[in-house]
Amino acid sequence: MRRATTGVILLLLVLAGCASSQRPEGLVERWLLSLNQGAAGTPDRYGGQAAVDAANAVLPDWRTRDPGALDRVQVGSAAPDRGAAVAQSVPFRIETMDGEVITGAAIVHPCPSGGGWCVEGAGTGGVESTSDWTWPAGAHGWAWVCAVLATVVLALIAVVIVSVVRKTAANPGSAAAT
Amino acid sequence: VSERDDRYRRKLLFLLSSATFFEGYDTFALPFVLSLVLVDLGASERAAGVVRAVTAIGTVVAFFLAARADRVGRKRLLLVTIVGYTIATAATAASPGLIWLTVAQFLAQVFLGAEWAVAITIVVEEFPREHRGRALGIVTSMNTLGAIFVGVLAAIGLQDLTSLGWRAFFLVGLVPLLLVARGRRSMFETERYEAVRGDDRSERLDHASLLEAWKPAYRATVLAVGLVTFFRFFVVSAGAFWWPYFAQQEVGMSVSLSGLYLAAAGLLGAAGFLVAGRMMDRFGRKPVFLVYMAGALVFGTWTFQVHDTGLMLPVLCAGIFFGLGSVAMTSAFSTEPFPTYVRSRAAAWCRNAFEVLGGVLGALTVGILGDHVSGPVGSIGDAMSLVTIAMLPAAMVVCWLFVPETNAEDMAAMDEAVLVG
Repeated sequence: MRRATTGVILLLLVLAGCASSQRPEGLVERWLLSLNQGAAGTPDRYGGQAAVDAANAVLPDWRTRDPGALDRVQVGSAAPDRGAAVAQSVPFRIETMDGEVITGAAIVHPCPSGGGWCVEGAGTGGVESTSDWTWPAGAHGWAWVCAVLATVVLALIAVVIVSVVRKTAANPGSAAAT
Repeated sequence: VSERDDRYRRKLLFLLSSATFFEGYDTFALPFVLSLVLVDLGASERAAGVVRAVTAIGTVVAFFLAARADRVGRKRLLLVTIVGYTIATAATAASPGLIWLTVAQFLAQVFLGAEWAVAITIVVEEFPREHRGRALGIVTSMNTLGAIFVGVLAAIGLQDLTSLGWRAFFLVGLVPLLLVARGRRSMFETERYEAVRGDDRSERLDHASLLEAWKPAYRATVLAVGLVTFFRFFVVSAGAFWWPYFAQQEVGMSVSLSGLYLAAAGLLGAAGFLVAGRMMDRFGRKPVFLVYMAGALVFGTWTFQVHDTGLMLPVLCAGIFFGLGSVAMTSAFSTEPFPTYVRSRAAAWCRNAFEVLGGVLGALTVGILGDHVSGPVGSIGDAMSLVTIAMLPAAMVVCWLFVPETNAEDMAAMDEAVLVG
């Protein structure tokens, strides 16, 4: 049981070590998805008034659209914004239920509060993504090794637990003695 | 006994299938009409999350109701759950506000969760062993067809056909009451339950304690089957929950195309239940389960790595075929190894405790790992594939080593051994 607990703790430590800093692509995606909620949308959560102004620049009528009016919302890989030191430019592509396609780029910068990225501005047109609009982030090679190790650990823990329960069930006296 | 002929079993199968059909229907009805509900009742997305969490708890609470089948009988509990579900779904349709709707949906999930468990128990006890697998395959496949039916009704615009809007989806849930009205007089208590309860020697058996399934004779099997269902549903539930998001946000499929793919794959994948049912009667529960898990491992992992919309459909079909179809075997694992007097409680532990827990943790784990902003993996597709690789082999190992083969299990002999011993 002690070995199993040690294995679980090690696994959690490895997973915690995998944690990365915030991705600007993820923030821009959420900001765009918030425009798909109609009047209930809250783009201000992703950068205050600057994020609302950026939303108005991309979709001026986002407040009056029906929820779910955007059929596809895709983002590409972030890149430094024209040599700026910290700001990143994230390309995006929106397809509405009516078939209208809007492409553009959102500019994000580290939030003044220090809690990740904030949307600073956005513009439409003239943007091409290098990722063919598939999600740009993913697991590193060692994560697959972690998954294989995890299945070995899980299987071992399960086998040990069921074996112990089986043994005590077959011989209840020994369980009471221990 | 002579009245329990093939004709009776066909009628019984129809009644039980309708119960599992509406379990699948109701589980997907609320997510499908959620946006309409929020607008109509003036609620926020955050409130919708609370509704989802509270109704999910209903499936766990169903454990206590499902376990009652060993005390009050299978027939009575099945009828109670169907009537209870019908009242709850009617109350949902009449909801004046979100709190009412939440309570009504919570109760609906309690009754549906128990209804599923008792339906599986009745199949195992009423069908001869050479047909048990096939019957389990049919009854469990109805769950998926019920879910697809919601999509079909949405596609034909049920919400716009009447002035009832989203409420019309829940009025469809009143249909089971009509089936009960027709079927309750002609339905019998199961033969095995009657035989055990009618035997004087069963007086000394504990028909009520929830912990009876954990006594030494059964606890290793309950634990082994529970772990298998936990690992399996950890992956299957997460896959079902996250696939639409993965398809739309990571592959770039439109909402409408991903919905069409899911309906088509679900329909084709439902064949997985029926094939599993026939195969497990012929080759045994364990070998077929291991084959299905190997298929789910390969195609489940692959599904969340595909970024080509043309390739997605066949791979998704295969993933659903093996992933969802394997529930026919886990239903057998959680009922067949146990004697009649404790069967419903053992099944309730395996399904409502282990499986539901796996379902909740699976979706949560993939969400945390694959979160696009701060997740360690940063991709739902990769997180889902990693979880599939981590969980399904563990399910296979536990099944292979510890779950008993019950293909040739004689229920009457098992009950007699318990009554004598």
